[in-house]
Amino acid sequence: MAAPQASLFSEYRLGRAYDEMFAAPAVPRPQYAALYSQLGTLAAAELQRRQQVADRAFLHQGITFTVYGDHKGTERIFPYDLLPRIITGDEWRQLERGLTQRITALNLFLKDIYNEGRILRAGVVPRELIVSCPHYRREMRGLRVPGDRYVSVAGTDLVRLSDGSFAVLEDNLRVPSGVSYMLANRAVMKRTFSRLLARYSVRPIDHYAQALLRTLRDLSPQGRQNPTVVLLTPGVFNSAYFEHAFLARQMGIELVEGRDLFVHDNIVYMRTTSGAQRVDVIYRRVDDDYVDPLAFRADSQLGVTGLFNAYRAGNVALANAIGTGVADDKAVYAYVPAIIRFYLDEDPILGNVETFLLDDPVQRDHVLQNLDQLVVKAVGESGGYGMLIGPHSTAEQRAQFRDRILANPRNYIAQPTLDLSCAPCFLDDRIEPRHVDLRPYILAGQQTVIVPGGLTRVALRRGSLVVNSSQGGGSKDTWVLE
Amino acid sequence: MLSRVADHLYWLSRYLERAEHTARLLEISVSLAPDRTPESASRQGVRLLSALQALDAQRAGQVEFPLLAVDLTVGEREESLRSCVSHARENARQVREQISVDMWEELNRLYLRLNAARDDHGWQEQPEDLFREVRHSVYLFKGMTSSTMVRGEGWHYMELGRFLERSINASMLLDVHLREFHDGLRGQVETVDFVEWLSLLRCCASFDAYVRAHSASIRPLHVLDFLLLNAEFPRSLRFAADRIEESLRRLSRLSGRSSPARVERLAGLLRASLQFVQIEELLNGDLLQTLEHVRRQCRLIHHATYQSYISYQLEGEIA
Repeated sequence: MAAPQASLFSEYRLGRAYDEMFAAPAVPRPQYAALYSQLGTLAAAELQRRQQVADRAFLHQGITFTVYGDHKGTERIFPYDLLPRIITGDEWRQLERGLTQRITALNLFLKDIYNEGRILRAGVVPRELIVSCPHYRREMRGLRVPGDRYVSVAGTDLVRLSDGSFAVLEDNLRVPSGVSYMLANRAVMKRTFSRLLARYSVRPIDHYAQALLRTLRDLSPQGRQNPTVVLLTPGVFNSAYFEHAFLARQMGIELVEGRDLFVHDNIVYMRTTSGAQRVDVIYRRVDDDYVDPLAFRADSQLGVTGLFNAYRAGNVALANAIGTGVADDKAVYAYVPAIIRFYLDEDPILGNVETFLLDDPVQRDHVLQNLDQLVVKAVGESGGYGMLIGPHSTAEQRAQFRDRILANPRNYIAQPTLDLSCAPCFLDDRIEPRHVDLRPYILAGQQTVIVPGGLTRVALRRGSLVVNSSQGGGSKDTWVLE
Repeated sequence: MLSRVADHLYWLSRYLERAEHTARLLEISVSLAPDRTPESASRQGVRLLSALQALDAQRAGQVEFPLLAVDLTVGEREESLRSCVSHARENARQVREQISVDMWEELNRLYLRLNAARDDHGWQEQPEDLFREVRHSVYLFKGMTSSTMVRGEGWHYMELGRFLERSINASMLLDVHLREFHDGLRGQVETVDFVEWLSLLRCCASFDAYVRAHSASIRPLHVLDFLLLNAEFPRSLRFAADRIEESLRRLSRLSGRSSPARVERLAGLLRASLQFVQIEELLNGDLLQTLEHVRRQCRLIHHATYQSYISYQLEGEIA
């Protein structure tokens, strides 16, 4: 094996965290051996050239976000790291089983809490926790959802802990995004490392859109042959608009905005050049609050007036259903292992991260005494906002969070500061380890389909644990081997 | 097809047609500048602004090259090349799922190129290169559209937008030209005016085609006949009217709607006004009025199309 040019890995230091590539200094894990030896033949300048090819591909495809407050409308790409993250076939099969088990249990949980409420009566999950959740929708009580599939599309955030095992950090069950980056990253990888990609037997992911469309069609209201499926987007100013257009094109369905739809006699139509056309299934990328100004936020311009009544009447299906956010509440998260045991009578295949609920006086005291070592998260926030990372915080920030926790304990949870695993990233002219997570996308139709891969997000700032794109994160392609 | 999608495809195509037209006018202005006296160059600047419907009192005095060209290329004004391309791209962005990746990438590349030209003035050394680059990028876009797009509703909305815009642009250009060069239309061109008739042909991308049809002897009568009434030349008003009528007929059939008779009648009138007439008759009558009539018909067709397919009343749509 050719040893990579000394300079490329000269700054590569193994820390406490699990390293995705190296078992020991300069000893790659078997699945990374071919990549490691390939890097041995490449100069930094060649990697820089490929990085430019990749960056230009993203820019030209318009996979960009607009820099706010810049009147010239400058557009930036989301940082893409050149090197793949590799997951072995065995690791993946384990993940697949764990994620399928989890989504199955969560769908049963949603059906239960909006109907009989067995788990609440059994005292496994406190009723107060559910009804106090901002994403709990009383309007969904007793409403039947097609196939009892509340969540059709999930994006679950996984982390790899120092012992090499994967754990779930967060279930995203409302309108998870990022799958277009998973697909775009692979397309760019084919342009930058095509030969390497061919030498590994990487499982393909291109059929995601097809699988998504099948999942959506499965939701069609009864008796509707050949259902019309549409993707509802908040519009071109939404940061995920690229993804909405991308998926609609890949599925060959209409990309609609609220203003394209209208409801008459509890039936949803879209305005077409041939007149009104009935809509059967809506893959909505608009949050609950905004889908229908009549039922939810009256000031919303993004939704469709009367949509919720049409939904109640069973004349249109929504993916995901309304009110699924209650199951990805950060405090409800702590109960997911119990939820799995309750409905499936199985042990969870994928673990949770230890989580302290601040409602509980004992756990709260423990957290308040150890704020400098824990991560505190607001349950209603996402995108890396509303977070305190204890070891990186100032005394002043900790005092602020103490006050906020005491004012509204239900609104916060705490977790130990995790050593997220590290993967090699190409930065400027050398390769260094950076913390990563993994978000696979789960499609729960008549069968559960998980396209082998996911979005690996990278905390590009040295030492940072925050992978969110709004906070200096980037992403890389994820290879799942046969 | 969603009405909103039809709307965006139509405008995407109109804005690109306008960008191509503007780029060509600028390219030819710049390339003929050495052949003109300062005084005739300044008159040409006024004509250029008029043809682009960009002349207002405030700008009447600012027609000196190269400032005018810079302004019309990368300026903030609505008529600038950069504005046209930005508008086209905005429309494309709204219907990205409808157009191919190649089409989007080409348009996006053109947009980024013009934004770069706004911030880096290097192109002003050889401005023709930039104008040619823009034209070629639009050709490439159109070529990809033509070779990959299904000839369904989307295609015909794009065709309709392109040929309506082309008719309006060409009739404005002819209008502005004839207001200044209206003498001796039946004879040979005087040496002084030769460059302007040549410029007119080149502004309509028709010099080569004209020469093949009528040889290099440039007679106003032949030029006008060619640009107004030629049925085979894709830049003539007659050709555009045929395409407009054809696309509207297809749209009516593809939509399955029973009521767009008014749109088709308007298109038929426009085509007939250019089909059953001879250039001699037009010269005997009021040529400027004919051109005005073409523009008015185009506006009416636009409104009638929107009323029939895009912004129609919802009442009566639901059985």
